[in-house]
Amino acid sequence: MTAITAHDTAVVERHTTRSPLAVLARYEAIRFARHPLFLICAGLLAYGSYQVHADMYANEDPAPLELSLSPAFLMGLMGLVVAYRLTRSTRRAQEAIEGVPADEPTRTAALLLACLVPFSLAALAMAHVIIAWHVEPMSWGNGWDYFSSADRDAMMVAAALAGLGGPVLGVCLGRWWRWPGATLLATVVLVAWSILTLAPWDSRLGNAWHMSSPFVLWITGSDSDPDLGAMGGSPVWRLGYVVALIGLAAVTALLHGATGRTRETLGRWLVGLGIVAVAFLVVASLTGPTLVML
Amino acid sequence: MTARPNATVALTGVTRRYGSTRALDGVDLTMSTGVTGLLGPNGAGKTTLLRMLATVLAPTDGRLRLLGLDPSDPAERTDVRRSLGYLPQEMGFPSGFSAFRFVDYMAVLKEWTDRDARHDEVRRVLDMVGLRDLAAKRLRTLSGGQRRRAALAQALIGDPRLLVLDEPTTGLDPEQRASLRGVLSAAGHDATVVLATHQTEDVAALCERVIVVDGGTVRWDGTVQDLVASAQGRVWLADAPTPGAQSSWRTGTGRHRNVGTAAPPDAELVEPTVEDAYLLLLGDRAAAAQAEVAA
Repeated sequence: MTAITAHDTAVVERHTTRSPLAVLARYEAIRFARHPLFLICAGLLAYGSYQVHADMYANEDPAPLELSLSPAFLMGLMGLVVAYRLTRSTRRAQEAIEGVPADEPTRTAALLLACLVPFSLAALAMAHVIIAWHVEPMSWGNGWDYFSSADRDAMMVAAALAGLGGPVLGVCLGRWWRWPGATLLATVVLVAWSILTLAPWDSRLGNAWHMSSPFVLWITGSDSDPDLGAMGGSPVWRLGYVVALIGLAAVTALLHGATGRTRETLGRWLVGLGIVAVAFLVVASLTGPTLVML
Repeated sequence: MTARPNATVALTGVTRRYGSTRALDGVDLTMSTGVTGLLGPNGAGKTTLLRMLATVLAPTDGRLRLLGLDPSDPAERTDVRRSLGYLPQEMGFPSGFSAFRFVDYMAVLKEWTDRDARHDEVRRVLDMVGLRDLAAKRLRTLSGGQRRRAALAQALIGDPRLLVLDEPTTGLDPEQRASLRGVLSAAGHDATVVLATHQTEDVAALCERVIVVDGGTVRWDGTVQDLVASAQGRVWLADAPTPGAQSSWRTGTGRHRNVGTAAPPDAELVEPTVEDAYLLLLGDRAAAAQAEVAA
């Protein structure tokens, strides 16, 4: 048996040569990167991004839906689950953690910064697609030819942003939704919302509804489908809405445990970001075309 | 109560309510460097008091100062936490963490940002609690006592000036408890160590001062010697339980140890212990608890 030893309690100076937030964020980023679910999804994304794109050029196939769907699902939706679990993982030691200098908003900020890990991977995958498109234009089909080059790029950027938005939402839920099944409900709601926004609604209001979901598809059906259609709205302007949504989730997460002036400041940010989100959604609805059946 | 010189902990009229229940009721206390034991029955308010000292719970009423700072102010609360070590009564661990990684994570939260210095400090505290050889083991594979020591290690990071420990010896074997006393008494030279426990022998062996809390109020505040002295002449041995004794139990020798306010004239008086004095202090409540256990 190992006994506890009386030890010289030499005064040890605390070493704070770097920002505690930066060190904590690095710590959380490593935890994120080592999470088994994330590792599986990262592998699938890397393989899928390379293989699907390579096949398109080799076989002159039109771009499939998976191009934007896979980073959104693997880094966004699964990233939400990973981020939620990381956020909740320290709950058992919560009582001791509450007595440390790093307060809850700091710990939340570190977790939010760790969400850059899945975002980086999603961004890399989408950057690969965008650069390839511009270097060597491919054969368009499946409705992609309806959109401008800028629109297609914006769709890929939105898919990369899903890789950030999902995990950030996961941190937010981890702070506020502390009950079993929270991630399951969240993923079901997000998927259902994305599917419901594909309802054919040929109006400006229909545009707003279509673009309201955190992740949207812009094409319904395929070349062989008689109901092939391009959804309404502006993919480029919608990016502002998506960024604002991510900001809203981040600020909401930071609000948990915030007190005093920090809480007031975050509250103002919440209102401001809400206004920005609505403004971008309105602009994106008005500037883009309405539903077009191809 | 008058404030002690160089007080590191000062409570003035501190009350904590949970709904209509008063967990602490107008408590006045000061503490300074040294080891202070906190005794009291379950639900007496010990954990509530310790959670306040650990800055995780604010008083409903009254004034609390820790290390000369006001923990109700966010900036000062952070400063207090920089000099604080806290071991909660019940502590779980993040899944998948080894002992080293858990203590390292806590050190990061305690602003140890230099990696090398932090790792040295983690090794030092794990060594102090005798876990150095098990540092790489996952916490879930360790025994309850080993996990308790890992929890204690995180409280010791950085030699805190205020060390708040809620039942630190729970789950430790006698040798580990004895070793822990060495660690805590050494810490008490420079720091204010407050520990709540049900182990009266730990208080007797370790603490310079003992505070007995019951019903949210302080029932006793003084030296261990004074507490023991208060039971002098009120503990005796007999061949059978003495009617009217507050507490009575059969010892290993077959004789009965009786604790009561009035020993019979011909009683064989024995030296009281902290436990005897504690039982006498709590009176009927302790007797009821003992009867409950016997039943």
